[in-house]
Amino acid sequence: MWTEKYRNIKFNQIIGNEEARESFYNWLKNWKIGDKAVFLVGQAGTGKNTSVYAAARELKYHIIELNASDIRTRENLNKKLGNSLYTSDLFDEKRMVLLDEVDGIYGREDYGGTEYVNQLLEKPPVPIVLTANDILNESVIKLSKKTIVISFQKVPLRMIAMYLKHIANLEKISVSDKLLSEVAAKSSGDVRAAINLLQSVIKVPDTVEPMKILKDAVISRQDAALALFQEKTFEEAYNKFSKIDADAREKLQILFYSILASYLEKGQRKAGLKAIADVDVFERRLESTQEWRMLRWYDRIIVGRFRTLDIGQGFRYSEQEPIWDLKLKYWTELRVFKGMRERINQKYHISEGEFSLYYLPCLISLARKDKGTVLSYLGRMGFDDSVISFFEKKVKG
Amino acid sequence: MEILEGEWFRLPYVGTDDFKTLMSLGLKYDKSKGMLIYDGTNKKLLVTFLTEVLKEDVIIYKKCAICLKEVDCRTCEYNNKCDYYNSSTLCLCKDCLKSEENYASYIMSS
Repeated sequence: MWTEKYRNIKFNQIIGNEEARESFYNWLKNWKIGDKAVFLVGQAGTGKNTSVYAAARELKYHIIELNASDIRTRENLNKKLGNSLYTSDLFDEKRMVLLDEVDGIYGREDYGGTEYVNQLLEKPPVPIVLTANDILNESVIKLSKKTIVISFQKVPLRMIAMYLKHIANLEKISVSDKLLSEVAAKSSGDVRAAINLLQSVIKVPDTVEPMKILKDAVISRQDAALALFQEKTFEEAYNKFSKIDADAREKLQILFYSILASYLEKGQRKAGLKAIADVDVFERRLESTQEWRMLRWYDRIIVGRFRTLDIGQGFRYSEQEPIWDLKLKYWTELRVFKGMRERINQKYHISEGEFSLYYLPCLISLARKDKGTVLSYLGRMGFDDSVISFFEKKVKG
Repeated sequence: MEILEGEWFRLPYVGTDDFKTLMSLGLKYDKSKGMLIYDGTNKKLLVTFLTEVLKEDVIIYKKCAICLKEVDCRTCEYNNKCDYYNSSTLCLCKDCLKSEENYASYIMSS
C-alpha cells in the first residue's frame, strides 16, 4: 500500500496544516514533566498521526500507541502502560504516549479506561498526544478542557494534487494532470484517501480506462450532492446520487444544510427549501405507513425534484448545521435591543424587565399608529440608524 | 474587505460584544498587530459575522505556500469541490501548481 510506503516521511515532507504541525512540533520539542497533553483534532487523512510519528522520529521519542479498544478498560491500559511511564529504560530512551481516536472511548463499553486517562492527564509523566476525528464528540469536548487542542483541517485540493504528482514521480508512473486533478477532487481534503484512490486507479489492467474506474469509485457525499446540479442528464445525476453513503434522513439533512450554506437568491433558496419539504413529506409518509418498498423511489424523487431548481453554480455543499447563519438575524436584533434597553434604562431608571414587558411593546404599538413621532423620539434619544431601521422593520412586521 | 489568511489585519472599532464574538470564532488578537486567521478559526462564521457587522462583502484569500502570493479560491479549478472554509491556511497559486519542482520548493519553504 502506498499509504504505508509513504507514511514514514520527514516532518517537513508532510503537506497541509503548516501552523498546526508547527505548534505540535514546538510543544513536543519543549515538553517538560507536568506540561499539558496535546489533543490533535481533525478529520481522517489530514496528517495527525503522520505528524506525531515524524516529529517523534526527529526528536527521538519512542511512541507507545494505544487505540480506542485498548483505552476502554483500565486493565488493558495498566498492562500496556503500567509503571513504564514513570521509569526510564536501559537505553534512557524518551517515551511518549499516543492515544489514537479517543472519540471512540466513551460510552457503554468503557470499563474504567476513561477514568485512567483522566488521571493520566492531570499531571502527565511523559508527553501524551490524543487524537480524534470528530470535534463535536462528547469525549472530545470533555478532554479538550484538560489538554491543548490543535486543530487539523482538510488539506487544500491543489496541495493534494501536487503531492499525488510527487508520488507518481517516485513510482515512475506517467499520469496525466487531468487524472491527478480528478483524484484530488474526489479526496475531500483527505490525503490518505487520495493516495489510495490514485493507487487503485493506476493498478487497473491495461484494458481498463483509469478514468472509467475513477467514475465508478465510491462517491463522496459532496460529489453525490453536487451531481444533482452538475450532471447533464437525469440518469447520470441519479447514478451518482444513488451511490451516496447515507441513509434517507441523512441525505435530506445534507441537502438542507447545503441549501442553507449556498450562495442563493431569496427565491432560489425558497425553492430549494420547498423541494426539501416535499421530499420530507414523502419520507414521513413512508415512515407512518411503513410502506418501505416505496423507498426505492426516494433517490429518484430527490434527483427529479432538485434538478428542476434553478440553482446551478450557487450550490455549495455543507454537512454542518449553519447555526449562526440562521440565528444571526436574531442575534443582530438582540444586539440592537440591548443597546436600546441600556439607554432607556439610564434615562428613565426602569428595570430591564419593565422595559421588555411594557416600554418596548408600547413603543412598537405607538409607532404603528404614528411612526413619525416615535422615530423622531428615538432620534432625539440619540439612537443611531441601526436602532431606527430595526424599529422600522418591527413596525412593518 | 479582503483578508489574507496567515497575515495580520485590522478592523475598524466594532464594540466590545462584537469583539468578544470575533474572539470566540477563533481569531488571534494582538494589540500592536491586529487580528489573525489561523487553523483554529471558524472561517465560515467569521465571514458571515463580519459581513453583517461591517455591512460589506468580506473575502478571505489563502496564501501560496511556496511564493506567498494571494490565492483566490473563487477562481480555483476546485472551487466547487474544495471545502475552503475548512481547509488549512496555505494553498498553492496556479503558477506554483504547474511548476514541475513544486513539491521540492514546498519542502524548502516549510
